[in-house]
Amino acid sequence: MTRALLQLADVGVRRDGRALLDAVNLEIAAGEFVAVVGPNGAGKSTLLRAITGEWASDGQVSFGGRPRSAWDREALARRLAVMTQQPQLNFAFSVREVVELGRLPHRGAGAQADRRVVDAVLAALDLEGFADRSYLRLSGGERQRVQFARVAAQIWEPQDPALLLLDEPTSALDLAQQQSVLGLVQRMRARGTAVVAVLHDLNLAARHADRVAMLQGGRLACVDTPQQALQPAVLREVFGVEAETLTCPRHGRPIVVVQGLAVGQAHG
Amino acid sequence: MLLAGATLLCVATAIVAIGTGAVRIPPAQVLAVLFGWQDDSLTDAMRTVVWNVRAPRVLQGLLAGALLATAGVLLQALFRNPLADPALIGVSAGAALGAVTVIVLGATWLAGLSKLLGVWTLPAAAFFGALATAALVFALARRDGLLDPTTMLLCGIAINALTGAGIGLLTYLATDEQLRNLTFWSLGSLGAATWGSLAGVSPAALLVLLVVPFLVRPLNALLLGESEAMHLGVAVERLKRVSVVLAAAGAGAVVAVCGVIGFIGLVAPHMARLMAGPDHRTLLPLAALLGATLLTAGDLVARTAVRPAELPIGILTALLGAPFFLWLLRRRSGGWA
Repeated sequence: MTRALLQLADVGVRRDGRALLDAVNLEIAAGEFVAVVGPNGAGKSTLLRAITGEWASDGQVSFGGRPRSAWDREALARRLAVMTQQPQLNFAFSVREVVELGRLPHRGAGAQADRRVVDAVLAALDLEGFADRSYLRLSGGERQRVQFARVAAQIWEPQDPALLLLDEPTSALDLAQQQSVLGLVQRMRARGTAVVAVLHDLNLAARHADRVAMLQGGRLACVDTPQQALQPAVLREVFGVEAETLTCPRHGRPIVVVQGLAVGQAHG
Repeated sequence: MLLAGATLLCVATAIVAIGTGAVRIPPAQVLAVLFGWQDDSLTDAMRTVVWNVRAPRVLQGLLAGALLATAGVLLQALFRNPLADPALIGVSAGAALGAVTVIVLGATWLAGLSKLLGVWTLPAAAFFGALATAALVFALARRDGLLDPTTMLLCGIAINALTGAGIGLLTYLATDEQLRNLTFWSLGSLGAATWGSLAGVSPAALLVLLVVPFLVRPLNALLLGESEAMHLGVAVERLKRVSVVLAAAGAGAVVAVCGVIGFIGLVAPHMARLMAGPDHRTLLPLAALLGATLLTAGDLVARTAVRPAELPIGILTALLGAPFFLWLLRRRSGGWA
């Protein structure tokens, strides 16, 4: 087996005496797309925070064969980009300026390289017409795409395989916008970038992910291909719903159709 | 372009301010005195007025305005909220409490401290008062890594009330002479400016001037949010600490020599943002220049409007700044500009 880009060994997070994440073991290879799914409060965002080091964790997180804590901040930021849920930006930066902030760790690259990357990302997301618009005048979906563009600009042309962490990157997007964002994610994967994305929509996960990591109560219930992970029995156990899993005739990936609450489940 | 224009405006204001007063001196002669040029029409009285009276006062106004505006920009980035002003959130009041404590108790309870620090006692006390309040407001207004603007402003109200009570208490203990000093501190004035008091502000000004250029890009990232800045490779905790210390040093130094002057730290950055946007690379120098210009122009009005008496500049800035603040609040629904 090739050495993983990201390695989690027995990673746990405790806050206020409560275990939010418990003994998670996970290895992710360069270019791989892992979707993190699970009910609310299962620890999906916590898993991302443990990977980035934003929250202290037990166990070992390694990136590129080195413990994450041994990385220099800027060197790490050139290979590890994170899109958080709903960043709060209260100042009237233009769209271009927000995307340019993604180039912050590339101080030596020069203004020309920065401009080229920013232009390329804006074009890839059809945001060119917005470039000079104030961020504060954008709708929720537009803001989310701009934040994604910023994160993409951060690791656009990585020298070594990069890692993209996305926390519900499509929650405010319409169907076409979802396709444009996830299409760009696929292009970035072609350059060796691995993706760990928290997704609420199981069918988006099934369509795009190589593997699905399913969290339940802070533990990894399973990590497997979408076909294996999204089976009715697993969905009943983890989400408490009765579901049917069909197979898409075009790409052979599973399609989850939820029928109702599982018997004996009273979901609040 | 914008910066060049603002610099020009700032210099012109300063020259007019130096030339205006009981003795009117044309700009050419002001420059002649300042730069030691030959000019036969200059009298000794002119030289004295320009050099000993007005130049230190105007320079102190420029420095204080620039420092207040810079402190405002730093606090606004730190709180990620354009309403953070050193006076509004209690930082200036904390500095004033520090200063007043030293004035009243400096000769008795704190005699050892005064001896140790000499002429720097007052600026140092003001700095620590400012630092303590800034750190307190920041700690109180933060929950789960998010700063709540409402809590921040409410903290400011509480701290302003608390320091008001502290200053009130100290006024009971104060002698008549100290009392006059205290009024000056709570209303703010540039009237006491000398070359000596100017020396009191300059270390803070120098510190801010030297360090701030290194902060502009990380501060831009901080506006996105603390975790977003961290993910961009910014040493967030260090950046926040440095920003608080610089803002406290700036606001504290101003309070130490001019008393509490409100709203410059709110109005100048806001005007700068309207002109040039929130990018700190232009925002910081532009806000500093505008703050310097505003305070100098304000002081010019304060000392000429009701001649021969003088208005405390703090009253004037509050008179103009408070309605501006209310207007900002009113407009808030459309997002922060």
